[in-house]
Amino acid sequence: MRTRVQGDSRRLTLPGMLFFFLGFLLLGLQTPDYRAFMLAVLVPLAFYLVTAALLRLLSADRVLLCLVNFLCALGILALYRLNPARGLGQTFNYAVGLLGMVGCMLLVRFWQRFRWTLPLIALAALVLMALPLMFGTVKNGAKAWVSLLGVSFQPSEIVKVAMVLVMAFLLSRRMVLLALAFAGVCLGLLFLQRDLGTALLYYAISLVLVYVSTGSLTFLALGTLGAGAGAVLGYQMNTYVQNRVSIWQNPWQDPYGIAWQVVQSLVAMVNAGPWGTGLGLGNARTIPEVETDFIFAAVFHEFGLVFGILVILIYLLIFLRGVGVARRARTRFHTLLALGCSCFIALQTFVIIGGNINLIPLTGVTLPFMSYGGTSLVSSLCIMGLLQGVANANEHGLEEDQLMALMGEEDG
Amino acid sequence: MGDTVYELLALGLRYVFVLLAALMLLRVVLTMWADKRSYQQALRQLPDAGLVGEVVDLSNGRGQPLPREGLIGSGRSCDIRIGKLHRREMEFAFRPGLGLKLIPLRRRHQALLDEVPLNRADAYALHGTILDIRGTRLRFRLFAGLDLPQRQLVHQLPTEEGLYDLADDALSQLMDPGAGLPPAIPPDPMLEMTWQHAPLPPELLSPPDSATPKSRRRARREEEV
Repeated sequence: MRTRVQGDSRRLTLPGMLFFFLGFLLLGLQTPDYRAFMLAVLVPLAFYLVTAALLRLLSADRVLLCLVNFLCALGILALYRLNPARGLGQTFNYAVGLLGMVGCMLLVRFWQRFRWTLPLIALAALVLMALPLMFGTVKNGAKAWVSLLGVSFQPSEIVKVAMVLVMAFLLSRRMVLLALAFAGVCLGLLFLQRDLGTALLYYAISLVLVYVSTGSLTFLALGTLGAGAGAVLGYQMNTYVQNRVSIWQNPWQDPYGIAWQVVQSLVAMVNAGPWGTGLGLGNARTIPEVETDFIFAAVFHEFGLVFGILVILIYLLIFLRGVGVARRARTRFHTLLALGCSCFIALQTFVIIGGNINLIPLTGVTLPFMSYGGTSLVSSLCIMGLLQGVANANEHGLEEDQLMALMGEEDG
Repeated sequence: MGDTVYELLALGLRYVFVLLAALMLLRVVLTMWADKRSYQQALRQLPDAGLVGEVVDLSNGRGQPLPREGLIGSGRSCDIRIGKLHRREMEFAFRPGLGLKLIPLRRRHQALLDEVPLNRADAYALHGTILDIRGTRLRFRLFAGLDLPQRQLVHQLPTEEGLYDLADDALSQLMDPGAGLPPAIPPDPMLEMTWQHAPLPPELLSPPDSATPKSRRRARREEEV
């Protein structure tokens, strides 16, 4: 078994290790920088060691682990290319996120007393969510950031993890009204913060979980109608939303004004061609917010269309694997939890990549695992930890069944 | 390094990057495929995976597979569907070492677990337990190999020491009738009612009509033989 795990982790991570070794080496050669050469050794090593260690010690899902580590390392590479200080900062965020991932994995796998802890988690989530309204700072039109003891963070990103946990728990106990009330309060607070992109994600996840849990088409229809009504209301009330929609309809109407971001992103992607401009040869820095919201455009610009499609495929595979984990889950709680986590990652990816390529109106959410931002990366890795915990519980359940079958045969 | 050399290197490596990413994805897809096949193979060997037994409706003898947790009722989303019951009658969840925990969702519908009213928080069904809800009698049949306590029928059976005490009491009664007896207590109607709800179960009078259910694989193998 151990040999198989070792073999698997090597086989899966070897291309990725080579990828990051060459990438950082190239960046180091461009402007001789010892930090890039150091990362050329450290990042591939970390990529292998994290995958192999978590596989061996915690029996994590190897596919999910490999794909997520690849995306995180790609984010570090892209950020280092754009701004070396940000790239180095992201490695620290990644290390913290890994600890969060392991913590969440162990929580799902071994913690049994959710009945007592979930109300506390829900309460803490609501308090965190209300913090920006009292002590928040406005950034990009949303009052969603809080600075505490010199650390700036976005509470709605942390609450994402709590939200999936609480909703999955309440719906697994068939407390639909309570779950809806919790989601409603969260959404209300997000609207007050004017963080509409995150509100959209929360709403969609609540709708998916309630539908999967109850199987009620009425809920789905009402939820969809509510979303439509909310969108119309938001459009009528907010000039900010009206601008985003008009940019989406025709980005060329004001390319140097409100549509500057989207136009720059589109231009960068068109210039990339199928194979990209080459690492270190592009000029993606002209895109505003390139390190956070438009990191996909930056990667697309330097690595090309084919690589961009491969990145989208990686997210798709993460989603499919997550749905597979949800299908194999033993309990309703685990099913809903795994589904909520997979849908969160998938929806967030769709919303931001869709905004980057102007498929849908742009909303200010980050690209999971790749965008710069401590809160975003840590929360995404925590969500992945929850998913890994369910996968681990499934493996354990299957082993239990095998044991039970053996004992049953002996008894029989 | 000169700009031209770097440019050539970066342009050449574009294809290598795509190739390496595609190779990794290919390996991931192949691993997923292999995992799927091995999981399906495991499921073929363990058709009872995820189940803890079955529930038999005693009115028609129809059995339904019993998952680890779920819902009993007549609704579409119920794991155990019984037409005569409410849409969502009762929740159940298997707890290793304790049994199948039953949580009634309709307080007004009186349920009896082995003839005892089911209103306690620690009501667990074991192998052979009979559940009465609204005139429907269901029997739980749990797989052998599960971590389950021995079934204690209706009342706690006296321990060995308790039996000695009972024998001593009976002997002293025979030797000196009336001695050591507490003063007569008027009969408690509640106590009598509880007792009426808990007659001696048929399992105590006759041997169980069926043994622990076999796994489907085992049953199939026996059929083949």
